Amino acid sequence: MTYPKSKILKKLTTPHLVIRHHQASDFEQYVEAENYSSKDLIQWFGWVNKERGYNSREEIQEYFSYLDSINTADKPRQLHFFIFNKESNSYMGTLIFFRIDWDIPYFYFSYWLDSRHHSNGYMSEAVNAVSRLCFSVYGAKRVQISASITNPKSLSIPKRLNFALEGELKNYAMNLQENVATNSLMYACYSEGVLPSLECDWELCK
Amino acid sequence: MLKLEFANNKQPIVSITTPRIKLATPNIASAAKVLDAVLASVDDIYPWLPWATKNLTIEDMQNYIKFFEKCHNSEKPSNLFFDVWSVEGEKYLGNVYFGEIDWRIPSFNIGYWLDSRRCGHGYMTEAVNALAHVVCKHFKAHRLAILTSEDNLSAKSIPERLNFQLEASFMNHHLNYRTKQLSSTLVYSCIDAESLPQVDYTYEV
Repeated sequence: MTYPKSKILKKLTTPHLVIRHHQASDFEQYVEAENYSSKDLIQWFGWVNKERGYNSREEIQEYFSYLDSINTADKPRQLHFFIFNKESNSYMGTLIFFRIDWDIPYFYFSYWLDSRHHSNGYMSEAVNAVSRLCFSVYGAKRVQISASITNPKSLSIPKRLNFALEGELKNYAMNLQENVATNSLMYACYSEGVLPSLECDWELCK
Repeated sequence: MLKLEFANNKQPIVSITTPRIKLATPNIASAAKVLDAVLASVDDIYPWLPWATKNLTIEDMQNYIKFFEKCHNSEKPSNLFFDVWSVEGEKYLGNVYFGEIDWRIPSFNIGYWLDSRRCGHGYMTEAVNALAHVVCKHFKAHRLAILTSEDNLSAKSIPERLNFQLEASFMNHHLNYRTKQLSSTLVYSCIDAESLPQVDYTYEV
C-alpha cells in the first residue's frame, strides 16, 4: 500500500482538537511552542539542538522544508501531524509517525505536547483519533507506541487507550538529559474496537 | 539504569575469524559468488527479504556491495554488513548485518541470511555469536537485538541457541512476502556478552 494521494488528511476534528498537516503559516506559533517546551523535549528527542538547548529559527525552517518533502512522497517513512486547540486555533503539539511500513501497514507513533498543555488529555484524544484514521482510511493492521519506563506521562497515553503491552525492551531508549539508556515498554493496538469511544470527523484531500 | 561510557574505540571492524568461519567486509570482487548463493536460496529467503528474487543480476549485486562498502566508510552508519566465508576463504556462506544502529546507546539489530546449501551446520550461529562478542567488546554495545517472524523457524533458532532473551512479541508486525500472511515478530535481546556461549575468535580493525 502507498500513501494514497486521494486520502491525504486535510483535517481531523475531535471534541477539543483540530489535527492536520503543517502549513507555512504555522511557523511562528510552532517556533514559540517548541522553544517554550525545549527543556522537556531535550530529554527525549535527539532533534533538539543540545548545545544551545533549543532549535534556532533556521533549524526549524529546515524541519518545515523536510515536512514539505515527506507529505508528498509515495511511501513516506514518516508523517507528522500538527495538533491545534479547536476553540483558540492555537498550535499545541505534534503527533509523529516516525516509522511506517506501508506493506503491512503499521505505524509507529511518537508525540510531544507544548508543556503548557500537559495533563488535559489532549494527546490521548489526538492519538485515539489518529489511530482511528489509520485503521479506517489507511488499512492499518497495527499501530504502536514505545516509551521509556522513566517517562510516565508518555506511557499513560497507550495505557489509557487500551493498547496491549507487548514487552519490555532493554536499553532501548536514551534519556538524553542524563545520558543513560533506559528500558522501554512497547504498546500496540490492532483494531479500533478497543479504543475508548470518541467522536471524530475527517476530511481528506480530494 | 545504565550510565553510559561512550565508545571511544570506533575504527571499523575489518574481519573476524573463528574456528570454522571468517567474517569480512563486503568486496565487490565477490559479487558473482554472492549472486550464486542468493539465487540458490531464493525459495528460503524471499518470504522474509523481498529483495532476493530470481531476477537479480550481477549489476544489482555490485550496486548492493557498493552501498555496503559506503556504510563501512561512513562515520555513524545505520547499517553494517559482513560476508560470511568458510575459514579458508573459499566458500561463500551468507551475510550477517547490523540494522537500525543507535550509536548513542550503542544498540544494534542483527539480521542474517545463509546459502540454503550450507544450512544445518551451525555456521550462522557461530557467525552471529562471534560478531556479538566483538561488537560488545569493540563498540561497547549495550543492546543487541534480533527480530524474526515467529514463523521463521531457522532464523529464530539462532538467538535461542545464543541465550538471547525473548523480551516481546509484536503482533501483526511481520509480512511473509510470498504468502502475504502477517505474523508476529519475536524480539530477542542480549545486553551483556557474558551471557553468550564461548567461541574462539580473533578480529582485525
